[in-house]
Amino acid sequence: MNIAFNVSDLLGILPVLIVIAFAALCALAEVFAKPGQSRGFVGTLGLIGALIAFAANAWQWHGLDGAYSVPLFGGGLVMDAFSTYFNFLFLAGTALTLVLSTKYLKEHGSDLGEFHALVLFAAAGMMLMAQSRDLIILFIALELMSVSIYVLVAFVRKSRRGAEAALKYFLIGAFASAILLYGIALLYGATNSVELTTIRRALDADPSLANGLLVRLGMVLVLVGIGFKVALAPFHLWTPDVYDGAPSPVTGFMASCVKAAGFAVLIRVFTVTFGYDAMEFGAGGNGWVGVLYLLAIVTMFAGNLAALPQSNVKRILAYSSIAHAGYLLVGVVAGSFGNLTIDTEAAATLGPNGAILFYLMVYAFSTFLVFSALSLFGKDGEEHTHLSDLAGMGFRRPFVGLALAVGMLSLAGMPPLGGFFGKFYLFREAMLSGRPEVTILVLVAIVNSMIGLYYYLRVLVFLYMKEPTREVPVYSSRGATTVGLISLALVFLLGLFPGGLLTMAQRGIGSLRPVVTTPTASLTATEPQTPPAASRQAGSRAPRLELKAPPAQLKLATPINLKATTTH
Amino acid sequence: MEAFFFYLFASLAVATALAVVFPPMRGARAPIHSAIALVACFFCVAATYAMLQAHLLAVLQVLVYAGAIMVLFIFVIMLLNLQTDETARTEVGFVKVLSGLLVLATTAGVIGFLRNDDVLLPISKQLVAQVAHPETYGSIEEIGKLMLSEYLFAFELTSILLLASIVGAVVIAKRDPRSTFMPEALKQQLYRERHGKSASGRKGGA
Amino acid sequence: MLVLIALTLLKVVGIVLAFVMLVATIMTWADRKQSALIQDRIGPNRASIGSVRAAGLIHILADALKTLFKEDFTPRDANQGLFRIAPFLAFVPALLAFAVIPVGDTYCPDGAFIVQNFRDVCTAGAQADYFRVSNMGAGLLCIFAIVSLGVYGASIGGWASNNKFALIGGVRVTAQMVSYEVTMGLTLVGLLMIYGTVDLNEMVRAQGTLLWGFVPMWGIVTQPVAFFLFFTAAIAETKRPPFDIPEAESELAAGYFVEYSSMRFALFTLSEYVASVLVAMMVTTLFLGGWQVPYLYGDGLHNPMTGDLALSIPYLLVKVIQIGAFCFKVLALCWLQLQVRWTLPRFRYDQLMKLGWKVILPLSLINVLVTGLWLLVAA
Repeated sequence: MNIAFNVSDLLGILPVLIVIAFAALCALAEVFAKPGQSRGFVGTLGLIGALIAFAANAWQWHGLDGAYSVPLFGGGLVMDAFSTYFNFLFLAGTALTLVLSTKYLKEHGSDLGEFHALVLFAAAGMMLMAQSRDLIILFIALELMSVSIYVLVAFVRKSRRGAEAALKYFLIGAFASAILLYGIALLYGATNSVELTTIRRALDADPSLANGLLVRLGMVLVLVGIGFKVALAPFHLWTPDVYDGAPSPVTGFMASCVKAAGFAVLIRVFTVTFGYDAMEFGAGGNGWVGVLYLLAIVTMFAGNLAALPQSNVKRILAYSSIAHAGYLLVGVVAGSFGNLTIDTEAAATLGPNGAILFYLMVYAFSTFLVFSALSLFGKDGEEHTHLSDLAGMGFRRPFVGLALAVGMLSLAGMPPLGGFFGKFYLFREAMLSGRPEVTILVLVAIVNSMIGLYYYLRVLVFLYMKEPTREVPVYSSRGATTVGLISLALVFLLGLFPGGLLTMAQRGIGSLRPVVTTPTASLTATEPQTPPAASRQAGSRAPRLELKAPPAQLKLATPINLKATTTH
Repeated sequence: MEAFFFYLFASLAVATALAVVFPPMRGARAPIHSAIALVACFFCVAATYAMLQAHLLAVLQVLVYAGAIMVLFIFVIMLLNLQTDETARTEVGFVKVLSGLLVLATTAGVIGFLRNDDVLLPISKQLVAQVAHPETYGSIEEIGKLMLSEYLFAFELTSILLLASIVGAVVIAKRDPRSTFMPEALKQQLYRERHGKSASGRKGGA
Repeated sequence: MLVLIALTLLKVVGIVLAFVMLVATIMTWADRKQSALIQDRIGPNRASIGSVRAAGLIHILADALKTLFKEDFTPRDANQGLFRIAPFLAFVPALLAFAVIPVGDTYCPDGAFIVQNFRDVCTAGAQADYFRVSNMGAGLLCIFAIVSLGVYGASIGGWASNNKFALIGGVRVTAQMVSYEVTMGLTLVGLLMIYGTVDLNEMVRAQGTLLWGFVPMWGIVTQPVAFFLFFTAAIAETKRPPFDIPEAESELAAGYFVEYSSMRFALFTLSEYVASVLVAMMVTTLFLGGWQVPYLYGDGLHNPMTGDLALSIPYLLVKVIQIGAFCFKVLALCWLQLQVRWTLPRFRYDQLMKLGWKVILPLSLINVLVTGLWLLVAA
């Protein structure tokens, strides 16, 4: 019996383990809390967990040598710069959500420790989604995230809209999960494997299989399942109700992190596994790329046009998040046309997929900036986020107004904020792919950005140019201020000095870039050259952990050599 | 023989699945008919599993879905005591007709695809190759070994998923500590009467 | 093919009809006699054929005739279809579960076998399952799957009667059976860990092993805590007193079958007795060594100290003794259940739930932990 387990594999998922451990601790802490006692300490506990996991993730990032991936648990999971980059995003988002929600929960009379546990569980699910290279693990991780989010949406007991939103989200989400699972089953039936690398090999080896209906149907169903999570039109209909009904910190968490996790999966499953060159079929000869092309156009228009008549800021943001998913899809489409799989020289460039990574990070911080201010509006299960509730707030609460205004401008893509550079790099890299159809797509995206300006600026109009009509309860919170300040600083910094993050994104996407061998060669490469094993070598200064684990299926440009210098 | 039973259970599964969506009786009693039809559907699916040598899967299908989950469904339906108007059907609109047609078209496509021998034969050959050792195939030992070797991580991850689900279910079901539900309020009132102060901190007593 | 079908039918008739149904019917009489004994009465003794009274056994016949000829009444506002089908939903699963219980060991063709490692190993041809209807590998899980279906009859019957007592009974039955199914399953995990199989006959064969040379490794020896927990949970699962709150006479009249009459009523009652027999058979198989007789193997009695053959017995006679031993154990456990029924007062609903979730469940989890540690140390 072959137990695919090494203790060193656990190091590869160290941040996830820390997050899960602290999630369990938070759930336990709730049990031992006295009735009536403030649950702020549970939030602090969760925050500590997220920060430790962040540090562990930084250690991994530091230790990963270049753009190589380390398979874990027999290849079902992987640790590479790509997943580590996403883990940074998820952990930062988790920490910000936890800080933001402590006061919010008290104000809305739902001060329970389980909130923090569920946020951490959701984070663990997202991190595993980014790390998984196995459709089964991917599915369970996605469910872990989804189940936690369903509950978080309904967390404020006094909010009827929250309960309604959670019910809608749960019913449609469960349906989407079933569709995803059906797609996975079909893919398994066609390729006899749930591992992405094996699926890729099977598709490379047998082009007729790749063009068979089984694979096509499976891919479409998987796309629908993930498309639901990232709110692509036409699977977006739940978004406005759920974003509106959910507690504001949770909405921020969903908009930034859930979406990012969905795109991590989208890139890994579609761009890498169902690579363009393996799939020459379908509409216009592009197969699923053609489908995504249409989805991108529909999503951008659906989001932007539907946002125009909205009068509730959270609904505006929901539609805006749909629109952003559309922009990101432009990158996926452009990235699928080859940059990722053609040659190693491309590793030096960002590529549309790298731009997606950068965009997601910027988008996350812009979202948190907006929600750090927006979460302050309301009390006792009722959120006052109508546009008229914001009237005059720019002068009465200058910092709240500033956070909202800057956040909105960043989401709209105004220079010199981060949002502008996110869009700039995304569209530039997409144009660089040099295909006329992508150029059209980018033009559509730019037109849509113009449309989007209207509803983002409308919020500013209400903030600074309208007189308040009624008294709205707005509390103030140190947590929200902290989140606001951090996000504000990052949105400006990423706009003024995007270089650092760009390098990181480039490195992250670089680790995905395998050289796909010809079918015959890939079949000969199936036997592992060296078994995945970890060996400790006594170094001269400190113990060095050397993981030699070539993924047998992928021939990498240079030998894999993960050098992780242990810090202790 | 096997083909006969396969078609029997397959057609029964489809029929009962349809009966779930279109229960034979309208009104307040429709939900329980749907639930019972779903139980029957699970049985038919379990029977097809058993014919595919997946005995364990068949037993678990009955044990978990028919025996536990659906019992709770029926329990809840019985407790809810639905009124007729709550279960009234909405009218058939354009979107519903369209989606129904799309489903039919997809089904027709799949059936048409499966009739194509070129596609089906390689798959069925693969399956036959796997059932070549019926002694261990689908047995509880084999599945146990697979779960603790190849799918170890997914197996362990499931426990985390269950933990998160339990925490979530507790949150949803837990009584709000500051709500005005009788038992809680009563408790606090009693506490105040005895001790002359509030039981649960600043906002206690609702 | 035909031989197989005929053999299966024969096994069904032999095990389920001849034995289970017989015991279940006799239990209806024994139940009343037992209560009479405990309450210092004479009990049923009036029915007679001619002057034969047979200690009231004729009452069984009289009851059967009576229920058959009574009016089969269906309340006007009941849900007709479900009301009629519910008794069968209760009765059929109760009978189905006997399919996987081994009444005797597998039979070696031509009586050719050697005793090896405390079990008979056939030397000529494959062993034949003559004393078990189905030799399905996942036997234990199969029983649980079938038992878990028994709840439908009661809950649907209670709901379809359109009667408040019946509905409350149905709701209670659902909650009770779902709760105790969980605990029942968990109590057996330790047993599975020790014997390493879910095949019931394999499990019984494993119980023939001798511990320290002379103690038969029966389930009650290796898992004493689990025996008590399982027995309690199993009685609760049959809805028999002291766990009969779904049909508590004093508060719910007869609970979920209050509206039933005639044969449908009899089916509900009979299915409870059948369930009692099933519990007896399961406990026998899992904890009391099933058909095992201590030191008796295929070729005869063995001396536990030396392991030598002490008394040679013909193979067929051994089979008969083993089946007899199984029947004896089952009957003893049936009697024990009656004794429990008439000795203990009924639990209250909250006590029942507390016992299930807060006592038996944690104890069975601890049992699993201890068993695991023990196996770890022993290995």
